Amino acid sequence: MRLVVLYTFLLSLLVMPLQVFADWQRFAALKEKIQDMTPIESGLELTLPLVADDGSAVPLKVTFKGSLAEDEHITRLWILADRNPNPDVIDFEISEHIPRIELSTRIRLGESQTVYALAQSNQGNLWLAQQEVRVTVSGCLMSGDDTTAETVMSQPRVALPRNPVAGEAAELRTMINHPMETGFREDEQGNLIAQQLVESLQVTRADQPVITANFHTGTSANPFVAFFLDQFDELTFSWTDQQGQQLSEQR
Amino acid sequence: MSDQKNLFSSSRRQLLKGLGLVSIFPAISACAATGTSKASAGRVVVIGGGFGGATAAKYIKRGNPAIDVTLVEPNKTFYTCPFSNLVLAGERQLDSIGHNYDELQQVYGVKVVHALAQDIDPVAKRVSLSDGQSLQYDKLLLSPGIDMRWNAIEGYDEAAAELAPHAWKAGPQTLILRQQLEAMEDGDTFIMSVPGNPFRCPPGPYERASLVAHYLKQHKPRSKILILDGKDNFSKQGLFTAGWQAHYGDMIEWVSLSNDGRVVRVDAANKEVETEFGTRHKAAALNIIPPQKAGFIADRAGVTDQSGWVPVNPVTFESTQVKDIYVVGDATVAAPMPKSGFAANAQGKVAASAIVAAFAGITPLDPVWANTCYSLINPDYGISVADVYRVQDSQIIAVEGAGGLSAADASDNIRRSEAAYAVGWYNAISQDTWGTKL
Repeated sequence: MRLVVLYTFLLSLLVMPLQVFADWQRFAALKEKIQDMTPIESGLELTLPLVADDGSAVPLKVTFKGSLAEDEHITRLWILADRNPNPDVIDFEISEHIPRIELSTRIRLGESQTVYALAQSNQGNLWLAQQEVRVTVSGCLMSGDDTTAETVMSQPRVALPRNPVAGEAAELRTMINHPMETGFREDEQGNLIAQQLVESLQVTRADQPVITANFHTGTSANPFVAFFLDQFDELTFSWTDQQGQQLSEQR
Repeated sequence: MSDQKNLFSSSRRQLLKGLGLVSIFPAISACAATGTSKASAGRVVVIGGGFGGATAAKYIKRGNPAIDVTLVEPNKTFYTCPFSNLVLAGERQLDSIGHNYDELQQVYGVKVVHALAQDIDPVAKRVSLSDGQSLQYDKLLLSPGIDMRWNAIEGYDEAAAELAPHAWKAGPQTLILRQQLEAMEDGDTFIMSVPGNPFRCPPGPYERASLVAHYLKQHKPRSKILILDGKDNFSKQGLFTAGWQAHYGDMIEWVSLSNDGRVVRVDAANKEVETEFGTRHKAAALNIIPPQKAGFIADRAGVTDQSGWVPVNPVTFESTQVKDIYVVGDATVAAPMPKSGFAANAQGKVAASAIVAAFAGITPLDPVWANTCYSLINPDYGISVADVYRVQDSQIIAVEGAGGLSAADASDNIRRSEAAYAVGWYNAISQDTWGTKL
């Protein structure tokens, strides 16, 4: 009995470092961004359902609670899913005008897998978070994107906080209607449907960039982004699609 | 040799097919009952007398009558969510969906305690009840159902639910909503807010909209139904949408998540709601089905995870977090099985079988479950979706090619038959669970 315990212990010593090494390092899209840096594996939090009943719109929130040096702030944030046909889900370019990093969106997951968030500061530090999500189409449910939607942008929507106060951080929400054709899907005749994506949402305040969200095939149809601001005047929200079409909303 | 094995397993499958789920019970009940008749074979406390708990209590006793089973349920009458939409529509009385615990006590020898389970000590294996009693267990089975996530929608708390009922637990809440429908004037609007997944009874909101439309069509035909949804698609969507069009024209309007359907704020006193992007809607009758989580006693037992639901070992429905606590029904993470009464009943049998097997020191058989969700578009027009589930690589999967959905082009006769099957299903499961003879 004691021998078994000892063996298990020794075995665990062998296995442990392997697991730590194997985890994200095996994921090329992430390795490419991290290279030979060592990301900090605490401080960045990823909130996703453990089980998603519908992989076509999985709610995701990413929050940064790590400590930063003086003059250090988060400038880039990527969401990656290792078993999607294209691992890029969504990424953000973040200015100093964002009072806190708490970003929400809806993502597509083709199957059960690990989702990663990687944040980078202006000083080059990296933070990594990951969470496993099991995707299951629940009984009595139906999934799937709307196959009839037109591939043009419509209905740009912005919701400011109900009683915004300058200097107080509050969440605002954005969404635009668009089917976000991935280019991986076939029509009824079996032909690939051409990729048609909304490429980005740029938010500026008095012509200064505030935040940009770059959408990829892993972003859900009707891209949704919520984030925090503490100044709410002179805001412009511009969505651009792959054809170069642009729709803007001002607040 | 291997041929013989195959023969054996295929004949056993035939047998299982014939006998249904009951046959997964280990064949020890006779020995246990006669052999050790005096001593208790073990103590089980079951918390919650709904589809999962009442079924489990009965089937543990059927599996081995020498096991001491106590069922804790605060209510003397349990009202089912299935068919409560018919009560809303005025097609049934609340009494007709009420069930009691007489059969469990008188026929199966289950002790029934009408009290609320308030706390669980999983180390001392003790349950404390609202009446001051405490119960000792060897195995605990929770079928706690759902609790509402109060304030997940701003302004929607317990007090607000008296003014804008959820009616997602049947009983007094059903009657409040029924009264609001009765008080509507012709031309008024009924608004229902539906949460994102997961929630109890995926097709339930859309059946409710259908049956409310059936009531309004007869009594207040100029009225409108507005469904504000936190999702972009829903259960049996094509069948519902076609059925609505055929029976109710454009009375029912469905607003999806991506058309600003998600409700984020409720003003229950004024029956007003506000959606994600600031659209306000005012109703004459307001039904808020809020986001949900496992019933609170699951939290007290320490079996819930960060999602608020209970992860379980799918072969036994024992908690993956706390030993000797089994959890069934809506509270569990059993996807792709839906949160339905049918699923809870089937899971109750699997957990009962696992508990009987554990006391006997034998390994439970691998379970196979079935589930059918019937929905009524009107009392004579039924649709359904059915699935079969089993365990593969320690996870529940839907068996491909089994089950199915009502045909899109089925005749009215078939729809009428399905509506009759729905009643047959309800009567059968009520008898199986509570012994109610309908």
